[in-house]
Amino acid sequence: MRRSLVLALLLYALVFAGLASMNGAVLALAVPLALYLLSGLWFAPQDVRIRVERTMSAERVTSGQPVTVTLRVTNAGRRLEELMLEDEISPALTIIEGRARHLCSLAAGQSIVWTYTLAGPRGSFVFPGVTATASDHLDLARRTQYVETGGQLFVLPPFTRLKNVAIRPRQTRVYAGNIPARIGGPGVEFFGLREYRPGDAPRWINWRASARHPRTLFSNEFEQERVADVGIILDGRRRTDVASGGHSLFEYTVLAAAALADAFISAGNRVGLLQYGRTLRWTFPGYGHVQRERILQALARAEVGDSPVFADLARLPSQLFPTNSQLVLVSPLLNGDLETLIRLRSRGYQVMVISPDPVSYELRALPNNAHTRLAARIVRMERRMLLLRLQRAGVQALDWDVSLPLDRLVKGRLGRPPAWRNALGRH
Amino acid sequence: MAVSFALFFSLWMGTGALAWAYWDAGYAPAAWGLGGFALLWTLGLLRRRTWLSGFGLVLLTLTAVAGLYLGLPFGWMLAGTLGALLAYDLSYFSRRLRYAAPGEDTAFLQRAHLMRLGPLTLLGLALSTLAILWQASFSFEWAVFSVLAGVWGLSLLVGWLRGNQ
Repeated sequence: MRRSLVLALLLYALVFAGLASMNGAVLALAVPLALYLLSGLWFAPQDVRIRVERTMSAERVTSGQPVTVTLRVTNAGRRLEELMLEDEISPALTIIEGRARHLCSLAAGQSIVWTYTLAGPRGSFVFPGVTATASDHLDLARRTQYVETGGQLFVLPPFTRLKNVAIRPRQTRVYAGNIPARIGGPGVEFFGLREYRPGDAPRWINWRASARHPRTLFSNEFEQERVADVGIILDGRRRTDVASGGHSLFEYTVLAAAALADAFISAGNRVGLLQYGRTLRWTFPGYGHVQRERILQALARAEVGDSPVFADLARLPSQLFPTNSQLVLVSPLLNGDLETLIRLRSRGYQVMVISPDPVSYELRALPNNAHTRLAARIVRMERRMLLLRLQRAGVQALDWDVSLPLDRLVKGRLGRPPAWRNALGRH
Repeated sequence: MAVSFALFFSLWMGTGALAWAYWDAGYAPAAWGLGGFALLWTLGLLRRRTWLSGFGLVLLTLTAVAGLYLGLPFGWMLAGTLGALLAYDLSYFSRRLRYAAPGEDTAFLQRAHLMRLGPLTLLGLALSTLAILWQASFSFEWAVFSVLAGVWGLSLLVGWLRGNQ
């Protein structure tokens, strides 16, 4: 209950009691209360006119990294005896130094600078504004003004950089890149032989083949390397998520998607991101640093959700992805996903699945007894069967135990062999 | 520090004045009860239960009113009410003061608050004493007029304060 209301009610009660009982002493007892309330009327703030400018030490950080928020508050109106400022911040953010509330007294034209430091989990956080409540020294009469300041903080997933993620889509784009294009031309890897054409470098001539045909020269042809279209699909269905010990497997799914997007964009590919969960969120494909930023910001906002429409992968809008392009699904996988992935494969997409292992993740939080071990064994067998079926259907499936770093798994299973190994013919 | 001292001083002064008056008049259980409540209020404030102050203000004021009906001395009752009012005010002020930043001049805020509260207390004390010295006789018509005027005036006051918030 408001303080002034409590005091006014008490004053009412005293005055009524005094008048009803015609007791002057009770009425006299009400005098200090009445004076106290009247001072609130007398010294009440007339208007609040303040300006607030916000600056942040960074607008884009990784989770846990501290950000210093600085607010400069200027009083453009009359003197404010007491001013309580409250910065509106998301409850998910943690203040590690200072406070989001600040009490001060501001003379006309005076400015104060107020700083606090916060950190937060992955997400996109908006700082809409500051609530300024001015009051007299006794805090009886208040006037409130909401000052919009703007400001946004992106807390990005702290992914590790992946190097040389080898993909081989059926179709590539026209620009030079580092993905084998299944077309002969200038490149590194041997692709085939063709008749010598004027202009071919002498070192390209295949002398062995030419020796067998005395009247013809043959040149080596190399496989062209180009950029490709890559569609990353992030599975945000709640059914696939496992939460244990205050952590969620989805965070690892996001981490893997971020690392892969970064790797593909760094290699010059055109990358798009589809978030599949409560709704469909599509980040249109693009190249370069701007696209990397767009995807990372989309991943910062990613969250798990339920939807009867997108309960299984059957509604995956494959028409968003160019024909014969590379699709990368990052998902813990459900048994029902097999059919959709096989269908995508049959339509000509090169499909890769990076699957954070939900069994080993959940098992860490469960008691180690015979029942748990048996249950884990059964579920693991089912999962192994699912991954095996996917591999048989030509889907490249990687089972990722999230206790191990992703880059180690990717290096071992998806990394390109170094050139010296190729030269030695050891694949 | 000055605020904390003033807070606990006014709290114990208010309850002490009431308890003494009740004790002196032979109402020992009420005096013990007031002492116990003062202890509870102090512990509550140390544990940052500021809402206890609102409860304390109402309780001590009603105890003072009851004391007046029982014929206890007005001076002690007024001291009790004033002490409760000061403790109530200062407990909310010290809560607000916690939001002042380390670099903020809290001494200025404390000084300004006490400078406002001190004269108000003295004025309240003086006016109450004057009022009790001037014992006007109430006729029935005068009482009805005062009730109506009081209701109207206080409604305006409350309406204004609520509108401000």
